[in-house]
Amino acid sequence: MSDLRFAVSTSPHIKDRENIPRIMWRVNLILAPAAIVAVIFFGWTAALMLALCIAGSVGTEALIQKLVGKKITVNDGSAFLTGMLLAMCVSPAIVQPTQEVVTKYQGPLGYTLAVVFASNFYVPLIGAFFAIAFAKQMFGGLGCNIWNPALAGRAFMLAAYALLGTGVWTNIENVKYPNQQTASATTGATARAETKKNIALARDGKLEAAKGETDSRRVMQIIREETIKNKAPAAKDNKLLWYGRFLIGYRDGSLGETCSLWLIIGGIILIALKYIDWRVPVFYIGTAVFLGWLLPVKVLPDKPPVWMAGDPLFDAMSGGLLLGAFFMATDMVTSPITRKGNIIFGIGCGLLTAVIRVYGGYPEGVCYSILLMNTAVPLIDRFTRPRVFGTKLEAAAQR
Amino acid sequence: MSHAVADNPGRLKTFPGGTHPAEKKELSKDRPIEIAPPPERVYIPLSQHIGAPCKAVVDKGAAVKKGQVIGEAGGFVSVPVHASISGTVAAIEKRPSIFGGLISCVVIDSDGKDEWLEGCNKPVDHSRWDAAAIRRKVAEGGLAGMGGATFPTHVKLSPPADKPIDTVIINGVECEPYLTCDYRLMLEQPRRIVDGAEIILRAVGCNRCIIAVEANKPDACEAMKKQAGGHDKISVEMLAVKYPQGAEKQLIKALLGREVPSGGLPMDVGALVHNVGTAAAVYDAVALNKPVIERVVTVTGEGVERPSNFLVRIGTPLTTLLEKAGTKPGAQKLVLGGPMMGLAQYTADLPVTKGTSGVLMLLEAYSGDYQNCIRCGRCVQGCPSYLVPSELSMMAEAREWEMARESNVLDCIECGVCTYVCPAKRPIVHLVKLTKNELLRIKKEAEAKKKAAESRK
Repeated sequence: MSDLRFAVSTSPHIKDRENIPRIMWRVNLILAPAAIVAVIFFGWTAALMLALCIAGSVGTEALIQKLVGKKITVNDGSAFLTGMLLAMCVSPAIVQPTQEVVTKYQGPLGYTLAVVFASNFYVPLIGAFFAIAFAKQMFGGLGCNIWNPALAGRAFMLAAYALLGTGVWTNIENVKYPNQQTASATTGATARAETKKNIALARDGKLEAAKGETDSRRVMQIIREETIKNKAPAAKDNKLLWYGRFLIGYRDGSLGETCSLWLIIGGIILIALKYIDWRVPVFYIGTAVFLGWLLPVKVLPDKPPVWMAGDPLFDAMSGGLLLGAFFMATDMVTSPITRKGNIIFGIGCGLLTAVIRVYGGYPEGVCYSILLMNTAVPLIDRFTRPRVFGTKLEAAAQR
Repeated sequence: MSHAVADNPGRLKTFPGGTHPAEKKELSKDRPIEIAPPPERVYIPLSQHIGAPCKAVVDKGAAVKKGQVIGEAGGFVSVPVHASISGTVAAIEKRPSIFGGLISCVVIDSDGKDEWLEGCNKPVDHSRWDAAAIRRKVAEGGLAGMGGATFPTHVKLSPPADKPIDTVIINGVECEPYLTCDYRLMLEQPRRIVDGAEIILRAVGCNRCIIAVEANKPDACEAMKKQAGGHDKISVEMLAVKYPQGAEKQLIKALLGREVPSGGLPMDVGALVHNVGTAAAVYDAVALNKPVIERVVTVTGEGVERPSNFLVRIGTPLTTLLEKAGTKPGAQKLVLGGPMMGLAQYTADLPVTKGTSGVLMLLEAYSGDYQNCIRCGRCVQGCPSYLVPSELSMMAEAREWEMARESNVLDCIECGVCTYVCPAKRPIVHLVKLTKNELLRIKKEAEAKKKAAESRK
């Protein structure tokens, strides 16, 4: 007995089961249904996009870790998650092969050839490379990055391939399996972009449907109807169908941001598992939707901007707000570490998103707002340090 | 008094932060305290408390009786040690210490008679003793915090006049997983605890005592309530289950809503906390003239055949206890105390001391591999001292000792919550202890330099 020797270490001698791979793979799993919905609605290009982004991310991570002689940690699921998120926040139409080519070569082999020779398949690979190499590994790998790698990758893709990133969307009404074969499989705008365009037209007095109108509120109404008419003719007189499409994800948009229902369910699961702090999505979505409704919009050339004319339900479910608020702003590494900090962070993201949406040049502001707030995280953390136990006693309850 | 918990009277009180490690108390909780026979040989370390070590007052070959002082206190913050069996002093030698390194031990060979020193273990009428007399007896009895902190009890019983104690808290929380010695003591011997608490109240001139028990020990709570029934100054409070509620500062926060100031002591907020085992030992020392020669030890863990609670003589070799409880092959770790704050030992060739609450044999030893902090915030949410442990660990890695001090690293109570919950498996407590050591070293070096400069003048 007395000759036995035991391992010695500092306490504690027991550890919680939770570990990084478990967290990352679970988040991947929770995110997956939204990706599956995307493949169902957008067709194989969505699957292709996912595969390219994930392969690009995981490959880049492994390559860099090998090159610099670090332990290869692609099994921890974090590069996989970056890839999946990157695919989910861009338009699947980016990798859609040119129409003529697809029509010419049939079958899986033909489709593969079409992808290789007649699509922009390298764009997501470059985005994934940037996300992992520049936004993550260059800072020291998992835990050291300042910006959410997926969003940084997206921002890079958008900056480098502006037209592809913001101007080409899958037209969901025309998706046919296995390939998008109809001539009009891609479209120029999402519902958000459409609305934004119509507001600009109305402001210049050039919106046909609003000719002769003098009430700003009525014009907003017309703009909304125009958007519905354009994006979902079937839902023209049916608000329930219009919002229902947003709920299930049957709408144009980035690959993974469409299925509002699952994004909310997934978000609630993440909160229940304590993987994310509810304060981030609640304050983010709350602020973005409230300000989107509140902020004044000028819709008539000779009338002052109209306040409180937004559409909260549309603002909440369109664009990338839910995906961003539940799955991206909450990224552990790039969000504040304190609860108070998370409130400030959420409000900041919401404010920036609303301002970009209402006044910015882009129809959507989720990506940039989160990236900007990521930058502010060290500052937020510094100013929201908890009061240390037993200090500033006048503030604490005494006797 | 205004504190968060008072606003929801339906809920049990607790403190902010903390975590819920698997309790594992079921292994040994239903095993009544078993009296271990006096061992053939005991090894009694001359320092079993925080403070100045004892001086041996017996020589090799001397005959000693049970309860006889064999090492006398080395100062005010020090307590004597007593022979725990009767017999002959076989040696006074250096032996492995539970804190690492070697320590002087008095080795006693049993004469098989197990005889008490004259006058020991006899009822004493102490009803008219004043506070000083009680304190003296407690000091003579060799009492040091039995919860594991081993701070000399009589020192805690001597608050300065400007720091009156209005509440004495008897700590029966036992929030460490696995341990059940306090639970068994409350269940089986509530009278010793309550009578001890009464004596402590007299010693500090206080009129309120709360015995705190966590909600996972309802029967112990009931037993204490029943026993405390006749005492109008003593009440029993059930607290919500959460680790580290048994930590002094957290317990005061949970019960009274008061925060012990940073760097301060419980007496700064009018509170005094003693472990149930200490209260029972106070009763023994004062009412029975019986010094600390034994204590209840939980021998448990997945590596133990028959997890048990033993009443053990101080100085009993751990090997004897482990043989009695039986060990399973493949034990990786031997821990003295609980798994969250206990000390890992490389050898079982160690004696039971006054602070040994548990002997754990664990089958798992973590590899020590860890990753970068992913800033999940679990440690921040869990830290009962409201620190940002993740940052402290990174400061230690960057050797930014001064920055860590400014970030209140010295307020860390080393409870282990941050390290337990960390998904990157970062050894945060280890790095914090390292930082504290470095800060101490820097301080000492600066003082030495200053002294040298002054002497040159």
